[in-house]
Amino acid sequence: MLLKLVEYHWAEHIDDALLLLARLDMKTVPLAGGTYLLGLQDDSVEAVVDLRDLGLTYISEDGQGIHIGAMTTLQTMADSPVLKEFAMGLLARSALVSSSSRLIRNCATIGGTLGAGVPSQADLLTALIALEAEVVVRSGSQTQVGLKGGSFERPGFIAPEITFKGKQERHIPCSDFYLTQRARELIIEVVVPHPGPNSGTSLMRIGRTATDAALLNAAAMVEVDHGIYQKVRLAVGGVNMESVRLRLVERHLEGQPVDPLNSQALLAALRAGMAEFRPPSDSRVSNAYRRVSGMNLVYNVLEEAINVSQWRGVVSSERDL
Amino acid sequence: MELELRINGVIESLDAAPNESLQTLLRREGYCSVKHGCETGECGACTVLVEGIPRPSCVMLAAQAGGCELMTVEGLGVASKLHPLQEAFIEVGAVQCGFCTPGMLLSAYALLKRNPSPTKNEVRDALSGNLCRCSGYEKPVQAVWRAAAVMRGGKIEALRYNIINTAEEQEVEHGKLLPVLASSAVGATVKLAAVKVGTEAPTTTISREQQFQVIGKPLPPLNAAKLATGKPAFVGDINLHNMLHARILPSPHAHAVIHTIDISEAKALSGVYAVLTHKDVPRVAYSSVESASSAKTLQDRYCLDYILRYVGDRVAVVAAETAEVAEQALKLIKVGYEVLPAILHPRHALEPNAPHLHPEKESFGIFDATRNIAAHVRSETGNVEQGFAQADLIVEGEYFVSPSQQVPLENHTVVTYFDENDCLVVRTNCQAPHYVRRALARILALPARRIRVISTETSGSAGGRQELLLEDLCALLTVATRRPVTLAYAREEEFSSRVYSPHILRMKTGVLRDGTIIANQMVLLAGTGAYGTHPLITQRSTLTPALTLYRCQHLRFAAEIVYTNHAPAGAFCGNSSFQEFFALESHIDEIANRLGMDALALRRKNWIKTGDIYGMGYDSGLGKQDKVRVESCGLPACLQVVEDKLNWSGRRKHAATKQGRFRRGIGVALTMQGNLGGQANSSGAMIKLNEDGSFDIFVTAASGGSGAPTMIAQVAAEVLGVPLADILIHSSETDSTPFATSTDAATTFYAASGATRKASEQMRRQILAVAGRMLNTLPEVLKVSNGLISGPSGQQVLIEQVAAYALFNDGRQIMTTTSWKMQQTPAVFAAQGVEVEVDTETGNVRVLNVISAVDVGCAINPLIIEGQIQGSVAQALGATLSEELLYDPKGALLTANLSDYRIYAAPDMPEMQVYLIGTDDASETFGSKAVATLPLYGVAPAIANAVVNALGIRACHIPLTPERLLRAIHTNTKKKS
Repeated sequence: MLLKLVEYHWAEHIDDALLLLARLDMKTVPLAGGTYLLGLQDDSVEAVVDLRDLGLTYISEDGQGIHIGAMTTLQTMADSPVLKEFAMGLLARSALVSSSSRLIRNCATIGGTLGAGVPSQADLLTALIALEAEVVVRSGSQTQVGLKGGSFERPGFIAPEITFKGKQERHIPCSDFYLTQRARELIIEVVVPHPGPNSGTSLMRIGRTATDAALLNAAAMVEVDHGIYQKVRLAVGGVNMESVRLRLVERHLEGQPVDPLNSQALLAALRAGMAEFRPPSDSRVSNAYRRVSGMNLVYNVLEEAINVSQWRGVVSSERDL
Repeated sequence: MELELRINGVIESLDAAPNESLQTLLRREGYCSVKHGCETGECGACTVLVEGIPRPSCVMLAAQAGGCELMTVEGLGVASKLHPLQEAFIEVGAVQCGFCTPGMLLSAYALLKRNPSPTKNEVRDALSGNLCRCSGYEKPVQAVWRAAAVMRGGKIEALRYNIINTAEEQEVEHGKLLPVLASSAVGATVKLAAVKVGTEAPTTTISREQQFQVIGKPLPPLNAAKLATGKPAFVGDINLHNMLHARILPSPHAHAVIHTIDISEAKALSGVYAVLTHKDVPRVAYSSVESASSAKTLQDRYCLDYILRYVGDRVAVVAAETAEVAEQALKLIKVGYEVLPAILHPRHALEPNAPHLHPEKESFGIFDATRNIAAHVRSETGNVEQGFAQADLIVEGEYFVSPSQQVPLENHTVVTYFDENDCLVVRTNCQAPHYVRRALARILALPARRIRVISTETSGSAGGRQELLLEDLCALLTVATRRPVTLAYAREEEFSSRVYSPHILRMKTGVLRDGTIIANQMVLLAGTGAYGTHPLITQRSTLTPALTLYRCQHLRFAAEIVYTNHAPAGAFCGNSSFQEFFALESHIDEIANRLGMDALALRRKNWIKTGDIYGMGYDSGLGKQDKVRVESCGLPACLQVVEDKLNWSGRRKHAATKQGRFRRGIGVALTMQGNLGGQANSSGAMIKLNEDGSFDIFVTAASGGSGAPTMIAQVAAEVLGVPLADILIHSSETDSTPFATSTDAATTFYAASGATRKASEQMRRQILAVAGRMLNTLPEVLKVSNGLISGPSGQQVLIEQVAAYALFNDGRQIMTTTSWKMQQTPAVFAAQGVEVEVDTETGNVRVLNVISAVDVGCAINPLIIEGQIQGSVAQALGATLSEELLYDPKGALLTANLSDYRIYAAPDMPEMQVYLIGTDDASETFGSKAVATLPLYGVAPAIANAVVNALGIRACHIPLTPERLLRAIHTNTKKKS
């Protein structure tokens, strides 16, 4: 329970939410679904801004890729026909397995999941990294305006003691999100670029039960062109562990010929590349287990992603005929 | 702030604090169907439909629902007009303890709104956020499916139960059971005659259940409608005027002494009414698990003590106007601790320089406080050493069981107040009201007559609710403030309050070449935590029923129960059989493997049979062991069913023949629950006939999702010849019910149903005597059926008329009282088989199928019994594969929420098959046997055995997590190379 929470704000405009989040007199945090925030025993939070009516619940597609509004719930993502198609359903599936409870998925949002980070225990974070998703965040900088009587554009808006610094939008790659994220930034949406043609994806996980939070999960996206790995994106995550990209493995594979019959080559690349994979231990699972079974898991996701990409390649060429 | 909410179609304007959750707001406003099970949204008991979408209301601010349309179960249907979903839940038996039912109903309602004809997997997914500990999810899923069919106007199938009656007096010898599967409608039984190989057509006999009117019928529990409509039935559902909220300050250290404690600031806080520390309460040694015997048993606990023995132990307790103020006050208490070295593993307790956990002089009954041994058990029949000397082969094994917990969905909750007669009323969800009263009387120095303990509806707890947990502190606060006080655990506190204790078990068995077991020994080391509450200390059964499963001349059982700086051990399904059967049944497979024998053949060669005397008996104190005979044993039929359904001979291939990443295996385990003698349990019952022909029965029977009161009512209805609706059971209140000496589900059921049967028989005689006079005939020739008494020449009178006649014409009250001492406890047997698939790359075990065949004697209520079995299987799956309490190096609990401590959810469940095996037992209540939680014991060893069958590797440590198994696989490959 948030014992010190004394203010609840319901914002209708993103600008209002940003104004409130920029307050220095009270610790104000954004409230998305609430499943993470309200389960915390945090005495520092004094005010929340409810984002439910900011119009951030959408999934749309354009040339850039898929745009998922920050307030889109995991269940909406799992049920979305667009996401079931997009990247072979990787996002829809990872949203579905991110929580075992449908009740939680009905509340938890993609923005809230990203905001909570590792404690959310969501497989979605790994999938977003593998798909090179970008998080769009908004905040203020540049001019400082005292807002004791409201802002110039919104004079009626009473927000005492606020120092507002104008607005700024940034696009942060998911893999760097926790490194470069700044305080008082609000996640607006997530943009996931279209994977190239002839690409394949895969997601695998290990849990104590079928729907348990993943002790270890891995997501892969592979683009194959004329039998050559054009692009390989590989991410591994798990409970109480930040999802990481295995860049060394990716580099080892890119540009190499794809030979599904020769598993030794793939294994050799993995062995060389997995050296950089140093997962932390958790009470439920040791780092040694994660390293050992991570090797198998990564091999399997890569294999499946390659198979999917080749199968798709076959199908599309048939269509051309 | 002011909120406008539309709750169940009514617009309400409510005042809420900014940090108030939707759950507290709704409960405050009287919507009791919104239950409180956790604070993190993981249990789903607080589900509410917000704009038609089911959401956990505990992780949602009330303000977040402002302007929204809300729906709770109160808006779904009321008792007079139930929603088809509620009807289906009741009819199918999906309402067990009823704590999770409202949440499930709403999740299902939302599903059927968007998808009128879901598949079973879609139903499971819809219920994935609603955790349940009683049902194993099978019946709720079935109920939703059924309701969907009803709502579509489709056809619904009759409910089927797999009841197999072994033909009377015909022992099934390693033969084939020919299934004569008559299709069964509601209540009908499947007849399966047992035939020896080579004999002719199966003999058919009239099944016993067909002679009965109420017994053997799958009737829904009496309290189902109340629970399915979310009525305020649980302790936390009442809200008294001026009630204070109490909170406990937990110890941050595993072992420490309080040298200073300053409560002045906390006391000064506005809204705080009382702060109690060890200085303010009487120092009376007690045991949270009181025993029935008059002898002084181990008592080592104090309401509040200056020595703290585990992280979470009670430092101080505060009562304040609201829970938040109490929470704030806790932060103002200044405590100076002197931290002492701690014992965090049972093995360390016995080390010579280990700290002493109970150095105090006031405690008594501790076996050896200087070595931290709380209790010690030695029991031997025959001469085990001699047996080992005679054996051709000796097999030894060591097995480990990690600490886990029962995790009842309802947190422990107590409400205490003084009533108008100045009696202290204690409303609690503890299942042992009479023992709570006894302990409280001593602690508070109040006469027992001034204490009234009411045990309300309680959520299913697998035995975790048989002791005093918070009642003492809550009562002390009421005495201090003279106001009603409520004290409830939060989920995190519930997790750190009780442990299902860790066990290390060593088996040593001597066998002959032909597979005959001639000597068997079990040695176990178990931690009881900070206080002596381990089942082996507190239950009078200081023996293991596990060892008696196989006939053997030389038996030895030795146990060392030691203190550790962890939360106290709690009972898990009566005694600690779960761990013992894991060791025993894993070990038997290991022996079969070493002998090159079939695992089933070895079991059949040695198992206990009808008419055998238990290998070990309870020592009645004179050095002589009780000799108790097994009246009936359904093991042959149980194992035969499991063998057939698993296709044992076809599928039990040797592990060496299996290849590939995913390997499958099958395994079997047998279990039993028997009373090895000792002091008989007693109970009593009172019945009064009301003028409308209904009966009030006063008997002590804890429910806790077991359906015991309903089955007791069935016994009474059968004897009295009335429909079930005419029986009103009043149970578990010290004011009106007699003392029951036992607290666990099985023995309580026998004692209570025996007492009820005897009282009902007396009642029946009284009624017939009056009816005989009314009809001018002999009472002996009268028959009662469905509330109607009829004579041989067609004259008839209703029980209702008899009641009125006796009362107004004779001026006589028809009522009875009876005392009942249980002569024998029937032995209950079960065989369980599983099929697993093991991923050799990750060590993940996927259970594909669990088959349980349970010897139920006569199934009083197949619907309730089947639900019990399914629920036990689900719990056992968790305990075997995922449930484990983990601690940091300082003894603080790391798994304090339902996501870290993983219990099985609906989508995790494998296929479950349940077979009820009918045997002929002479038990006093129509030959019935109490299943209780027996099916919990066999799943773990069956899974371990199936893993051996798949991989050839024995897992000796449960829970069998992917990491443990992968390590075992790697060790094994290393050994081979």
